[in-house]
Amino acid sequence: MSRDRSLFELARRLEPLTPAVLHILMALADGERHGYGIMQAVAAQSDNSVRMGPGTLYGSIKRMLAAGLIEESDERVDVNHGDERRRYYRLTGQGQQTFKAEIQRLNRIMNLPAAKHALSGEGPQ
Amino acid sequence: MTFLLALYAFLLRAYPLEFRRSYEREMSLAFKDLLQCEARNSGAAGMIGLALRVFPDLVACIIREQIGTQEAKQLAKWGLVAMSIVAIQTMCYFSTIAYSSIDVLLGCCLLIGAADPKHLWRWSIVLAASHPILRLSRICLQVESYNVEFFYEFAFIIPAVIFSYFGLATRAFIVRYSAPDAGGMGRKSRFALLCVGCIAVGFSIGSWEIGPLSAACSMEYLAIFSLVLGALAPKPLIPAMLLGFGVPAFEVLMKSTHHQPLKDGNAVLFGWIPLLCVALALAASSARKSLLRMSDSVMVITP
Repeated sequence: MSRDRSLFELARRLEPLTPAVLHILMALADGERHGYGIMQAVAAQSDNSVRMGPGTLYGSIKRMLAAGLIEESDERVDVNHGDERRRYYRLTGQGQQTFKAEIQRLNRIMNLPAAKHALSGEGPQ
Repeated sequence: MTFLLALYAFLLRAYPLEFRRSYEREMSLAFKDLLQCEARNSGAAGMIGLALRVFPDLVACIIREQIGTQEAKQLAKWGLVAMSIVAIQTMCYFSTIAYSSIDVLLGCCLLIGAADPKHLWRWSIVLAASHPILRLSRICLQVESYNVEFFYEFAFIIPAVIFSYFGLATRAFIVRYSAPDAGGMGRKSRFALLCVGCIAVGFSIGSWEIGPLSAACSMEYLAIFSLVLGALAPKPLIPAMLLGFGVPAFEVLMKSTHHQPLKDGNAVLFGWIPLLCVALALAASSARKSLLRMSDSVMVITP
């Protein structure tokens, strides 16, 4: 009961997700990444139309860690990006559930007749 | 590149200490990677373009993080008290029969109570005592002639403390029964706030008009409660209308109870007081929504 309530509270707090949070969840859906890796993934997923600054990224990461959507995995060197140690982040179970729920919500919107008309270029009937 | 990195590192110092401990190194690394990538792909122009995108984003994020810290909240409370003192002194300077500095003092005490600072009673005493103390200093500087009345103004410390705790109690009630993360107050809290507002405004009309102060002082309370209602309630229109119609109705009731004749202006009050309440509540509501939207959409998006 209390778990259901806390999940409900979480969903109420987070839905609909902010664009930054959604993009980070999407970037981490494929596996763990460090901060710059997340920025690259976001840019790649959006065909460079969305570029997240480090300020937005780490502000969102802080809030997502607090909400239990992501967690730190470990700190290690990424051979592709210098020899500094970097902190990696990954989705938690809760984060995966939230991401799934958000995608389903967006999917429902996309299946609405008005959305289909808008995408096909037809006017409202 | 070195200059941009140094500038970025310098700006990072504006973040709260706790945030810096957790993310400063990571953010510097990420910015360095971004810069190197732009330098490889687009040269100096790319680096400048990146800086133009990243620095405004950074400043917005710093403000957002700073607003949430305890130090900023404490600073805001000092600011609130300072502004209150200025407001009281301004009102004292432009004092009329309709608006007195005491009304402003009590209104400010409500706000300070709602801000929930530590040692609330001290803050309200400081605020209430500031007025006679400043007046005394003016007398000492011979800007104002000596009048023993200023001494009695220290007596307003008592209602000031009471009003500040009244504000605190209202806040506690709202926090207890509302879900602020869901975007507004719960039904019970809205109702409670409406009751509190009506009682406060009714108190000021009902007792003060009969007493030494004027009825117009109730307008400050009305304005404050309309703003609070608009800022907290998800749908403030109906509560604001209830508040707006409730106040003149209360005034008419109080006058008929005290066998006082109704003036022509009472009928007019039914028209413009509800309008004022609704306008203020909607203004506060839209301001809150704008702030929420701003804080949720801080992101660098390139066309």
